[in-house]
Amino acid sequence: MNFLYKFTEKLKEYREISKVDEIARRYFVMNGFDGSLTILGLLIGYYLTNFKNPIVIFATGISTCIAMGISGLWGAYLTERSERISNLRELEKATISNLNDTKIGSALRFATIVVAIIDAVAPFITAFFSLIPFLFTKYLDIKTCYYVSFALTFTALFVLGVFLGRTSKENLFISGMKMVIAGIVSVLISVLLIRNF
Amino acid sequence: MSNIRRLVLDVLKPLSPSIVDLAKQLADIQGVDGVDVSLVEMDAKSESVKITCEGENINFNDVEAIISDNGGSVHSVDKVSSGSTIIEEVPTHQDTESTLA
Repeated sequence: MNFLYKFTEKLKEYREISKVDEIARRYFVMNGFDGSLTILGLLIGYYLTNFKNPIVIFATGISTCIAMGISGLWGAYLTERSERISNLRELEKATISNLNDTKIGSALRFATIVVAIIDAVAPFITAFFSLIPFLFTKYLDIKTCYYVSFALTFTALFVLGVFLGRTSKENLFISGMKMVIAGIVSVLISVLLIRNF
Repeated sequence: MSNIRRLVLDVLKPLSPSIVDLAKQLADIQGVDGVDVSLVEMDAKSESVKITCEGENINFNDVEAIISDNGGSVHSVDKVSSGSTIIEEVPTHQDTESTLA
């Protein structure tokens, strides 16, 4: 119990030093949004071409989720690490000391890992959320799966918008709708392009 | 060897962790009864602070370890009091003269 308390205190301290909350929140929304829109694009493509094989839809969807997750993990880890190391070097110049083995160095490593995990998990979760109906093709016909999936995607977009609205203390509904509009624009462009193909 | 009862240090440290956290951590050291951390000078990324620790038996290495762990470095040890009681600095004739001048 004492160990757990010390561990959570340490994490709290690292969070404060690295100020990871803000950037993690930003990455979560940005990449969650990417995940939702990517899978929406994929599903719209399948829907408009009247594709009816749920196994293929789910398989391509899940591999897209994995690819987005891996891309987020690698990309965020490398960019965040280099950015934070550069800040640490500047701080070392200012304090004329090596900060690698200090709390500041540990907080840097902690923040890099947290941001990379969030960057990987956010698009995976939102994209997987949209694919859930295709797991129930035994009970639902393919058209219903598509419609439920679209509804879930727009719900995810709305929730992400509400989350942003809560952070900026703006009107939650308007903030949610801003995200939904991005989804609608994406759908409209896809429909116009594919119908005129 | 006698114990250290008061320690005054000049420290350069990054802005984060804050002096609030540093003071709390220093006060948690065994043998330290009280801590005062005063801001002397502040820069965009770092700050100079004066740390005063008082206690029955202060371990200098423990104090220095906490400061280093928080990214700080001891620039100078400005004052050390040791023994069974704390002796305040006594102003001498020269000090009085320089004050008058």
